[in-house]
Amino acid sequence: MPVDFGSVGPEIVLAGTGMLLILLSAFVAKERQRPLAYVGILGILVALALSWADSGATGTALAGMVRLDPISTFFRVTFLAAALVVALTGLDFVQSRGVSVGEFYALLLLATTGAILMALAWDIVMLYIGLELLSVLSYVLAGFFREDPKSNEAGIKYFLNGALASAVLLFGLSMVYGLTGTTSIPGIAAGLGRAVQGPMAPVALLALGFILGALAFKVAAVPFHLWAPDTYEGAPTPFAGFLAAVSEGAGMAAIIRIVFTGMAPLSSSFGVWIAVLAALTMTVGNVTALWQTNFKRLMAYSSVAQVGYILVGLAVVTREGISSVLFYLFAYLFMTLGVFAVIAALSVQGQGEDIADYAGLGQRNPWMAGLLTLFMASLVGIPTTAGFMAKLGLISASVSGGYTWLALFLAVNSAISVGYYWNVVRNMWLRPSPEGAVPARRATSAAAGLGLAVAAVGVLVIGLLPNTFYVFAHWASFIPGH
Amino acid sequence: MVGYAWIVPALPLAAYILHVFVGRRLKERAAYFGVVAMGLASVLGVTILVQAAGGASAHVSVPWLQIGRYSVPMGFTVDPLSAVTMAMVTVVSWMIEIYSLGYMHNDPDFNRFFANVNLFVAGMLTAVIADNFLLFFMAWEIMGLCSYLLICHWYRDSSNARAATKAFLVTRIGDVGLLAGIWWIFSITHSFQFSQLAPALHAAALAPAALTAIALLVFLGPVGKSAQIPLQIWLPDAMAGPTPISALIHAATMVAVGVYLVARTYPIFQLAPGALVWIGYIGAITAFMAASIACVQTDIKKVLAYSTISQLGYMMLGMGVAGSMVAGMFHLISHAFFKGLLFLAAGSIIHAVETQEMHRMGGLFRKMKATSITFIIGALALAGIPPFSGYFSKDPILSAAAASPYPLMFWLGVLGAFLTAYYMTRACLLTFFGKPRDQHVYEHAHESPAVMTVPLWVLAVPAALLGLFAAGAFRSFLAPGYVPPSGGPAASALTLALPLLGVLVGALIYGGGRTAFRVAAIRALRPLYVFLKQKWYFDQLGLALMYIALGVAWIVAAFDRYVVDGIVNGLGALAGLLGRATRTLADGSAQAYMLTLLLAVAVGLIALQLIGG
Repeated sequence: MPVDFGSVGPEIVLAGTGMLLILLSAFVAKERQRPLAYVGILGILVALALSWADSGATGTALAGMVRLDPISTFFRVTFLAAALVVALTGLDFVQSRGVSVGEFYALLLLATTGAILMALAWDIVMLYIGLELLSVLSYVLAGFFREDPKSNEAGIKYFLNGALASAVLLFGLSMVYGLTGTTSIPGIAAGLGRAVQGPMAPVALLALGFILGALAFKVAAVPFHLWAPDTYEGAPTPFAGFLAAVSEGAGMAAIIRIVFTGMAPLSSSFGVWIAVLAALTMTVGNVTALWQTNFKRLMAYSSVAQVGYILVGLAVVTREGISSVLFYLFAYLFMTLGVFAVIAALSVQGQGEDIADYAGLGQRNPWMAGLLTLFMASLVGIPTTAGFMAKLGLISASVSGGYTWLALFLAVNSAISVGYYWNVVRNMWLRPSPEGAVPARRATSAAAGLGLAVAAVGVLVIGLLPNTFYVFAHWASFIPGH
Repeated sequence: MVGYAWIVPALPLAAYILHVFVGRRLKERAAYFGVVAMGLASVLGVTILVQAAGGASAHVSVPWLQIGRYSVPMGFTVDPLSAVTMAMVTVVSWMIEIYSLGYMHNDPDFNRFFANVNLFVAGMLTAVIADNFLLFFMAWEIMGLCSYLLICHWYRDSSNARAATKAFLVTRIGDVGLLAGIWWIFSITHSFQFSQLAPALHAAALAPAALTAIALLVFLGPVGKSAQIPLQIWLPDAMAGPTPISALIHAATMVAVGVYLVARTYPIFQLAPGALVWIGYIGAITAFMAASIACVQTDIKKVLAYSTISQLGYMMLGMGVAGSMVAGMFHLISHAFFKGLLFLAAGSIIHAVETQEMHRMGGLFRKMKATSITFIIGALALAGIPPFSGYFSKDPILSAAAASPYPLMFWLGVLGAFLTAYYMTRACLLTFFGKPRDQHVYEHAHESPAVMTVPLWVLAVPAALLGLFAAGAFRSFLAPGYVPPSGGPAASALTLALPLLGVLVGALIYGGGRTAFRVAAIRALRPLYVFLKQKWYFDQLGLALMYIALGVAWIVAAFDRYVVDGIVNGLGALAGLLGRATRTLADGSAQAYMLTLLLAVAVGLIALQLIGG
């Protein structure tokens, strides 16, 4: 079988640009590395263009290690779009902290490559390589500000827990290999189909438990979420956004690949467990968020809660459910990255990251406050925003999939979430500025402005004209074996 | 061109957005956004009308939302009904925006005024071309919001704010009914598309009572928006807004959109003949009642406000009895021109004399020739004197009422027509003729600038001539093959004669300073006079109903406060407590995190083995 590098062209471009950036940043002084970020952005754009051009392709490549199909194309485009927004809106922030911009962007691009490889994987070895590429670079990125103890803490905690989760995953994967004698995902599906008939069925369930647990860690589902608040709070803000949009999305992609496709014969078992996980995750995420005073920590719990919503779509194990998950992930990337972009832009201007620091922002900086209000409205799920349409899809899928109680859970949780999202909004518009608040600076750099505009337009366009995106998500939601 | 009809509402919307973002910097020059946008929209609107008259039509629909099995398309439709209305709305709005350049000059909130007007027009045009209930309802609500914002444009005066609140709340009663009707229809037909509703309802073979209930629920929306009995009480108060707003929103366009909705959904009403009888009676009673109240108003805008309610009643009467929406629609169009004209002319007078009290005017004809002549043209059209347009649009309605099996509707209508002619004669004589009753006011009066008088002349042309030249063409355009029911020669004679009689009576009473006679007449008819002055006690009735509602609301509120709120607050408190407990989970210790991870996996594995297999 000839090795078809063309079908992983976007990943080659992305990884190549990342490695080029590492090389270049060795020769360019830290203060003059801003152009390197543009090189990185260009790399993402090229990868995006290549994957767009290649979006009709279906089939396996690299000796059966990866498979191009609608759903992997969907994740590829989504992750690249998210990486693009992170790259645009994070530039000022990273530069303002006096670290090597080139290295940051190199790591960002390589981590994105890992996330995409997880979605493309058609073999558990490739899946694991992608996961480790994403994870190891994420540990480094979380602790990227070496001088900042909080960033160090974020990195080390993420690393310790992540290493454990990797071990758990490998344990589960090794059982799968033992049961089926293959590492190829379609081979596993066939082998497990035979295994569940025989005496080894309990082992298959053990493997399912280990794998689901490890991937639940990756997406920060309760009770595997404890690393998230510390990591989000301490990590560089743009990377916190990357964790929420790309890393968790990659976890979802891996669940769909290995659990929904590879372990399809067990599909009667995992639906209800994912449903329990979903209910637990959204409830704990939301109620804990009520008590947060740090905005990034709040967003960590918010992303936990949002993962709970997304799991609802997986729990129903129908095509409509998968389609609503994909729609939600796509919509979610714009709103959550929008929030982190605002936090980053304001923190460059010297504003603190506590919710109290946002008091009076409506007067000081109405544009930023207005954008943040829009993103918050979308996270709550208010009509005309992307969040509303996305939640509508999840609720509709869960009701028609027979999980009405889960839909009710989702609705009640949305109501609870108003408590903390709207608290931020109220703080911005109705409270006076604290003493010594940073005066408004309207101007942001062109890159940050562009990134914010992309996020805001995304939220509004998906909210007002959802059909194109529904069609896109529905097209992508076909899973082989279902 | 017809396929690009969506550009027509997009133009004022673009003007609105420009106003919001750059309006403040440009000061009053920003108004040209709207004037230019509406100029283009008018050209486009009229072009589309001409093409539609030539047989062109368009229906563009795109999938908008897909939820499970249901798909909700969004789109617009250009048919004779929407083409005619769109052309009218664009032209009238354009004239009113030009006029407002003069009228609102130096207003401190000039920019906000124009921004809201443009948003309103965008909403109105969207409602007109909408091909489905959902888009229509959104536009309908945008109009309601803009109406609220513009009535309390001078919000620092608390009575204006109260009037705006009243308008918003009273129309809201109708909106609730409309929304319920829309959902009821959707639950049966699974569609919002206007063109599919009536066939689907027909196919569903519902009981006649259910169909009547659906139709009446939908009709509740127009009752509120178009100020029909018993929800008419908001419209006179809405005159608190600037006069161009009274002309645009509360005379020519928004209040008529209720009638337009009935026309748009007429096939549904045709399935429910019982509902049509209701509509006819409500229209006829509204027409007569409002006309009688207008006879005793002394504020020139209030006279016009009640006449608007009365004329909307005629439109509804036409919907109810004519067996086709064409009679009501033609009155809607001709009314939009002559009532817009009357309000703008009244605004020109108010601008000049700074009072709305007709008893302080008089003799203004000598000082304000253009305003007076155009106002009188509008008044003649409104009174239904041939050959002005009002006669041609009112006559088919009254003769259809005469041909219907409900003679009471005809008599209410034709007596209302008599009163209409009477009160308009009264208004003209009090305002323009006789001796000036307030010398100070008279001396300060002056003709308005050309930016205000030119729109008057432009609107005067259709007010005068539309009926004579377009009545037949209109009917064959909107309802080809429709033969209007004839009420017979006696009805036609009455329709012609009673308005003339009204003018005569008005001239006898108000011509030539018969003040003593008028005082004596009021004294003799005291109970009737008070009854009319109190507007048939409808406000008091509304207030009494409101107190009853408040009583009920108190009980509901108590339930809500103690039971529902109890549950909600309990949930909130529970969420808070839970959160406090779960927060301590993430206490910062990495070992504890890892332990939790492993424990959770272990619990999951055991549970899977026990239950999952």
